[in-house]
Amino acid sequence: MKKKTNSLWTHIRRSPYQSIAAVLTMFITFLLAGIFLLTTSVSFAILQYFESKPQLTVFFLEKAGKPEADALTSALVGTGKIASTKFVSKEEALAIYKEQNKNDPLLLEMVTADILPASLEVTAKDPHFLSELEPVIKQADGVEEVVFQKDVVDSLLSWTNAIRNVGGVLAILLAIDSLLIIMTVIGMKIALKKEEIDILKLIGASPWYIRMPFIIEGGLYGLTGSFAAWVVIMAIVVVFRANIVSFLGAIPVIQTVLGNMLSTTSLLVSAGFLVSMILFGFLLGAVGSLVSLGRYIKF
Amino acid sequence: MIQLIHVSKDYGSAKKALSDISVEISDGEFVFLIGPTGAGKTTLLKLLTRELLPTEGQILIDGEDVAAIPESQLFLLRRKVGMVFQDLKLLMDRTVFENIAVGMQVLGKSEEEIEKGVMDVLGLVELTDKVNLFPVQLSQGEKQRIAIARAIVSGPKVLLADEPTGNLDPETSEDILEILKEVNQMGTTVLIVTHNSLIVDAHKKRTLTMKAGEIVSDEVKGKYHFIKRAHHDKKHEEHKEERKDHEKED
Repeated sequence: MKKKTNSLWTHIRRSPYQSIAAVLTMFITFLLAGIFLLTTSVSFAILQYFESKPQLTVFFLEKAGKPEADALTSALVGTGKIASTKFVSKEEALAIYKEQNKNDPLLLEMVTADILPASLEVTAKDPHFLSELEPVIKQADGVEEVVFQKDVVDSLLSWTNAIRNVGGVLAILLAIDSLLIIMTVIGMKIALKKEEIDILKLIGASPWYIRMPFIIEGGLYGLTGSFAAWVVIMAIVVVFRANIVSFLGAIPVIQTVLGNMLSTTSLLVSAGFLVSMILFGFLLGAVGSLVSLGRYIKF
Repeated sequence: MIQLIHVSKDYGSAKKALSDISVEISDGEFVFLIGPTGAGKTTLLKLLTRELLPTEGQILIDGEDVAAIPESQLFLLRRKVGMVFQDLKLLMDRTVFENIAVGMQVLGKSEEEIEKGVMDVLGLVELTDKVNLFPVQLSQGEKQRIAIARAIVSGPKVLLADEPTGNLDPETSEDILEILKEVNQMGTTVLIVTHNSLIVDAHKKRTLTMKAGEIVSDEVKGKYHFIKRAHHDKKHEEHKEERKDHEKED
């Protein structure tokens, strides 16, 4: 085993520039793929968070309050299409505002319950009923504005899809590029070792005995590149963790994973991400080598 | 052990490289294959290791039809047939130990087995003191011995040697022959292609003589006389031609 490792290291050392090119290409591929994967995952978490929220919020005029909300609730319940409603008074709105901005005293100054509107959060039995409920709400007394979560969700969905599609296409193009680089590098190494390969064939080496060092070499390039990409991505996450948590901390998944980077969940997620990255890295490198071997060595 | 049945090899030129060769070499035999350059000796060896396929006929090694072996299983044939190549094919960037060890590594042997196997064959070829040297640090005779050691370290049933004494002085050639005879005494069938008349005459082993792609003689205790006679005949013809030319000029 020690001899095989030494031999593999010798192969890599003898053509360092090709090896560095292969590792760097893999690094860039996995860095961008990893960043896009994380961005898409966060987008989906945000999306799920908004989807779990009340589907519609009715904001009342400054003078309106509980009586108008009760009247509207009765009207909505009468339609038989309502799952639940929740009244949020001006005082409760202020409490929520204070909780959300407790770390920023400047935002808390001069804010009183009077300037915040009372609201009614409405969840329909089926999202399709929302458009039928809209006329009932708009005709009610004291209503200033109706905010549909559907609009936010649709907007987020389109952004998430865009990120996923652009990231996916870019990741595929980079993966093809990496595959071609690995094929070229391994092809050159095969050409350099052609005489040795011919000798091995003549003295009874099996096809897999000849292929294996090249497959491991390609796999190692992928593994090294993807591991380096993971380290950089984790460093970025650690550096921007505080900003992400303060901006998106209301989303439970993000709070759980990034709230405490040393928690079991956070460590498990990081480890899972690492394993997936290096596994795909190794596979990509190994497949590149296999394709190259099929092209340059005939058994 | 080795059977050639009406074997022919055609490279596409007008003359066949091998023409209707039928010969049988039994298990444990020691055979010389001699003949002038271009007689087809190396082609015959390449057919035995399946580097080439016969155009016609059948080759059996250990009862197995060589041409019928699928490409992916060729390594199994080559493990049975050890080969000492004319150009030796040593790995110049590896030590003596590593060059021989590769013959066992391809079989998947453990490091302990490889260590023992390599040291055993190095003892046989009397080069245990050169174990850590590289091929460039060895004499031609020593390189020949390393090539033999690599060919036999995996314990093949057949050993083919293409000009194993080429470019060697008579004394070193004799040493190499003694090693090959020792390998033969251990049960390996040995087939040696050579131009070295001294060793053929001295060892009086079965000798196959080839000429123009055919086996023209098969002698139990052969001598190099055919080649000598052919050489003399050729020289005689050349002298006659020269004499005629001179007479014409006069």
